[in-house]
Amino acid sequence: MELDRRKRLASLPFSEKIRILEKLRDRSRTIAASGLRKEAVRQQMRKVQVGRNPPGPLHTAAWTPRGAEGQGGR
Amino acid sequence: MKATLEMINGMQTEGVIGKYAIAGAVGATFYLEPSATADIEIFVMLPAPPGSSLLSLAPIYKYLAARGCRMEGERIVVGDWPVQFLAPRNALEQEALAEAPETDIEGARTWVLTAEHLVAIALQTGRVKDHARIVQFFEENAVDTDKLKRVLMKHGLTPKWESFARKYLEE
Repeated sequence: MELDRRKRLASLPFSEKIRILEKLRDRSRTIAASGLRKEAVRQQMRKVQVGRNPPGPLHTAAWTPRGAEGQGGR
Repeated sequence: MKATLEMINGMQTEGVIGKYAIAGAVGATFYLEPSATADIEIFVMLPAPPGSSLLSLAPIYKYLAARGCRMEGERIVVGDWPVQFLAPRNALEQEALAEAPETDIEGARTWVLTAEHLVAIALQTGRVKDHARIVQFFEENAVDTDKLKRVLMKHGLTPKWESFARKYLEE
């Protein structure tokens, strides 16, 4: 069914497909400008990190477990 | 898109570029269903400047900047599309450009790489999205397999193809 839908779209005239492409591009631009995608990705990544990272903003740098700070012999 | 192509065609008429052809996701859309993309990739033949064998994209940017187009990273916005101009880097890309058939978009003349060259270039490039696109071409029977085999063999891509096919196309 999904493949049929794709084949039907593929069989459209090129100019018509380009119009669809432009709508997809405009939608992506709108989403990118709104920051919604970034937030959605953040939320998804938080789900994966549950139990490993502390709550709060996404940590992309190396994370030090709580209480471990200052234990490096300083 | 029409305005973008008309500007590029004007550049071709004035001899700034030779033949050009649409590649990448927009090129693939000629054969497949549309899939979101932020820019147009265009392979372009560049005339060598007199007395030099070095090719440069600078004349393209100079021509377009003089007509109000602005740079956006490594792309230049022509009409309402960011365009990435690419000079063919190897024999496969040169052949792809030379053999690209003519078509038109909303009445504007243009050229698009063949499905077989798009697949071969995607295989050569080898990113995840390229592999996904190759699978799409096969799912939708959009490739002449004999022609693809000839292209792959000619450009030494058969071993890479066999490895790809084992991984992604065999049930």
